[in-house]
Amino acid sequence: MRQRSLVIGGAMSINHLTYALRLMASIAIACVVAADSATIPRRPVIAYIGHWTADTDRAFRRFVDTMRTRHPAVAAGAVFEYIEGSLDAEVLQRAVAAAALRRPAVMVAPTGDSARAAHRARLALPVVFSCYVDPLRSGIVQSMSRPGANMTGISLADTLDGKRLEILHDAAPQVRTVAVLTDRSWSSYYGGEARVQADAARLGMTATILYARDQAEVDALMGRADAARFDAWYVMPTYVSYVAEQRIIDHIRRLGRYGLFATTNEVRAGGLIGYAQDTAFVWDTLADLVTRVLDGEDPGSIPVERPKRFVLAVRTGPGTEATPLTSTIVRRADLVF
Amino acid sequence: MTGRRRTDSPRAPRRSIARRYAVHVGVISVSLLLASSGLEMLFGYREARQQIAGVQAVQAEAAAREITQYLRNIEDGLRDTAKLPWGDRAFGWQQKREEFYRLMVLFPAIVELQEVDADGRESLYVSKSEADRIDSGAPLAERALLGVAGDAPRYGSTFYREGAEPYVRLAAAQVARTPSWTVATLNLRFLGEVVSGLKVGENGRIFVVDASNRLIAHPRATHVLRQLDLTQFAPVQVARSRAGPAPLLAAEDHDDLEGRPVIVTARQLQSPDWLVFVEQPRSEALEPALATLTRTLLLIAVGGVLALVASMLFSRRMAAPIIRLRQATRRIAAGDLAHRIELDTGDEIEQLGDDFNRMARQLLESYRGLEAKVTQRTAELAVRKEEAERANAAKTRFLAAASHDLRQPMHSISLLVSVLRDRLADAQQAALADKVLLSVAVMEHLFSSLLDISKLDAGAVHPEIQPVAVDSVLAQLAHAYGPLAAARGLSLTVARCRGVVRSDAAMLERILGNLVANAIRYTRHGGVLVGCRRRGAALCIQVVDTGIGIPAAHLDDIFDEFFRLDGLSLDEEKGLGLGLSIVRRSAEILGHPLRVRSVPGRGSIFEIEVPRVDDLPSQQAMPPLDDVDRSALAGAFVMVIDDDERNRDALDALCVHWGCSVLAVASVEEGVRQLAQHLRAPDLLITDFRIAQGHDGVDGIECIRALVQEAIPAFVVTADVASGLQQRVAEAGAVLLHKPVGADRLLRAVSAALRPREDAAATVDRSAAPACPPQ
Repeated sequence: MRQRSLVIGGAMSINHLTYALRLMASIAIACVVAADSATIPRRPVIAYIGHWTADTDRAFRRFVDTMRTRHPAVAAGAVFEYIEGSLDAEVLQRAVAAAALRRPAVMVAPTGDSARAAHRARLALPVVFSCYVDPLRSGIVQSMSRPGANMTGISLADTLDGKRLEILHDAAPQVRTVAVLTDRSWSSYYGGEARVQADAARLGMTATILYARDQAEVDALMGRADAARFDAWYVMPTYVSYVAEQRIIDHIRRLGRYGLFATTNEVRAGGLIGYAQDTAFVWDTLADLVTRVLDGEDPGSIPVERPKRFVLAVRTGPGTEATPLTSTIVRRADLVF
Repeated sequence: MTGRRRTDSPRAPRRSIARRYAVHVGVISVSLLLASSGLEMLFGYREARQQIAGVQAVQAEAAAREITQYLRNIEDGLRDTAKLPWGDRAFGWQQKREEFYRLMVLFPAIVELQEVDADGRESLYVSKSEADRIDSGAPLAERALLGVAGDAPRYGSTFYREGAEPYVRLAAAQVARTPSWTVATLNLRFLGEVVSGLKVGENGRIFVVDASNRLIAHPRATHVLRQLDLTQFAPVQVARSRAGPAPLLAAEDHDDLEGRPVIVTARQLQSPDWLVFVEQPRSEALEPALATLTRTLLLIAVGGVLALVASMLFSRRMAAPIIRLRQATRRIAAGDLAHRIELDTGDEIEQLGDDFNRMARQLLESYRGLEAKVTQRTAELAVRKEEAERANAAKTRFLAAASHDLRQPMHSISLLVSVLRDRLADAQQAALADKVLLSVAVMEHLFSSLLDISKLDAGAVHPEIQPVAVDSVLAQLAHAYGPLAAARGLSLTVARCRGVVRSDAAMLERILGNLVANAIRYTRHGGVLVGCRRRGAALCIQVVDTGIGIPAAHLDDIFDEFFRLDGLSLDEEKGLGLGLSIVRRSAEILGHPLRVRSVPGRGSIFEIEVPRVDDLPSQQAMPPLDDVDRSALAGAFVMVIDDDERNRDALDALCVHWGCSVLAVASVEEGVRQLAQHLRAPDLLITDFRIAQGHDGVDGIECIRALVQEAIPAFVVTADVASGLQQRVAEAGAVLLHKPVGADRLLRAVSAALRPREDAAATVDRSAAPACPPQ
């Protein structure tokens, strides 16, 4: 009996020792794992692809403010990183690739160029875009309802050229010649010269496509004496209209011609007529999409959104005597300045 | 299981009363608390669900009304436009075009308007994004929208443009000379804005499903853009399976599109056939109930703890007097009858304590009374015991004295009559002497019986258990009772037996002698047989007779004192009826089982079972009767020491009659003195035990042996029956003979002692012998 109790006692001791060793090993492993994972959790990085600097890019500030307003908890826990891109496609591509190496949680591509650069980079990380290019035509997404891959966003593809010309015709039936100011990127991606000219012809007008890249070229183009030969100028929603907005408006007013714009801001800035997609929803929607992606939602399953409202803005009153508008169009306008 | 205690020792309580009360009260309190709280929670939950159902029903009603109103406004707008006299002067196509634009401004959801004729051909097309068309003649995409003029506006099926956005057509009939319709294309994303503006709690939602179960309006626009078919969605399935004006779903539990649990209510719009769903996260909807539940649980916890604490305190207070009562009763039970219980509870427990105190007082009084009685009775018993002991001692002394005083003259008479008988030549005189001897034998037997029964009554019989040669006992029986049997014309057959048993020789001989005497007395014809049978580790000594037998009814009575089978005895020598009583008592004292079997008219068998042993000390052996060699006695020098003159003279005469020369002295000193005048040492010593002048016979034997330096054979003939005498005599190397000793028996013993031996030259160790008394 004594010997048996010793054996039992010995077995119990061995069991206790084994249990103790297992417990210690488990604790050690847990500590290692915990040490590895318990490093301060990395705050999600939101990489924003811009074309200027973080301090000068108003769009970036607007995006950050919108995030903090609509999703304060997410914004407080995230790091906003500004990627200084470039208008140069190759430089932009390199910047996007370099940013991807730092493994941001999501990349924001607020322009068509940045969206295309992110698409070409075949990034493995989620990308939320907002662009004026057609994402379906440019191959950024496979479907508007199910984008697939890792990109989703907002399509601001503008196909209102014909409608705008129609409004111009309704506003000033006497207009016969229209100068269409655009940049070459629109031409290369849309190939829309023929469409615009056909729309104009249907309305009894002749459309002449003019290209400018920047403010200098705008000055050179609209400062010529023959600039006044056109009855009206249609400024398409392109990069040049953004960078040389006020110069263009000033030239058109100087020329005393009808100005047709693609945004209400240009009418607000002095333009005569503007018919635009309502883009007021863009920043809110962009912030919402970024938040949903950070929450783990698959961007490829989030449909691409589009503007659903259109705004007609006109200007009347002093300074527009040379370019009177019909009462029909004024009554139709959503905004009258 | 009755749980009876096997002993009277107090049991430790398995559970204290305080703890038991605490557990019971606590459990009851907590159970009641739990039950009431559970019911409260249940009813509260039900009420919450009912409230949620009511609220959601109102919300669904309001949402349906809002959506319906939204659509009605558009319909009204179309109707307003349709009622104008288009085609008349000032109501041409340009005016209509402007009117359409006005509608699109008023109703942002309208993205395009068409006017189609009865054949569904377009006459006017106005769009927010596309170029207007006049008289294009293009066919209407959904010709099924066109009904009968005057019908209510009709809705088409949901379709998608731009790849994702949902649209629906609304056709309103125009009141004109020629039937026509105004068809508006509505962007249903604007309906999403309507439902987004409807609040359902903090995180609730309202969404709309069209007649094809497509999601057409949802606060999360991307859900709509996914073009989700909700035919298999559980709430839609359930709603579609029901019909009626009442809510198709009434606050039922389902999961939403993200898989989260929600409470859903659904209503159906009258036109179009759309379903409106109101859902709210279950956690949010039941938050008040959950808050109540949380509060209730918290209260239960707090209440439960308080209840337990209170129950513990209360039970302790309640159990305290009981525990004190128990402690006090324990002290009383332990013998402290003077202890009193002091309780001041003012209830039945205090009364119980008073009762215990009364009981303790009575117990104390009874105990004291009992002690006094016990003391008194003990004193009385002590007195009686002393008297009994004195009586017993007197009886013992009487027995010893009577035994010694009666046996002495009987012994003398027996020896002297034996000598006389041997000297008588005349036959008649010899016959008379025989009769005297016979009468002496009878008297000896009667005295022995009375003395024996007295000794047994007094408990003065102390057997000396030692190995006994059965054959010597049987030989003595044959010698003693053979003549008696022959005188009655009976045969006495004693079968020899070499066995050795462990018993008291004298008592065994007495037992067997009584049995044989009884058998002879109650046998008319035939005889008596004495034999032995081995029975395992014992030896059964049987006395078989062919007597008159014993009736079965008296088989136990025959062992009673003074019992005789009256009328059956043929012997003139009637006994006292003590023989078998002595046999039974003696057998009981020796521990020998005694049995009797009898057949009336045929005889009886008495048997006594005695344990056997393997060997027998040679000094105790008695020679058989036929081995008596009287020639060894001729010329033997016998020394007799006895302070009784009669005994001394009788022994002297007897030994002389045997041919011995005798030196008879009254004391050891005289014997030593007279031996000095003899030239030879005695060949045999016969001495009484009680000799005057403070010495006994054993001392005398040792003294004489030491004097002559020889181990002279010696006999101690005494009437003394003291315990230890047999052993002392045996240790002295002598033979003990109890008076009265018959002449024949004495002759046999003397002849055996004087028989020549191989160790006849054995000397005595003078150093071990006591010093002889001074001259």
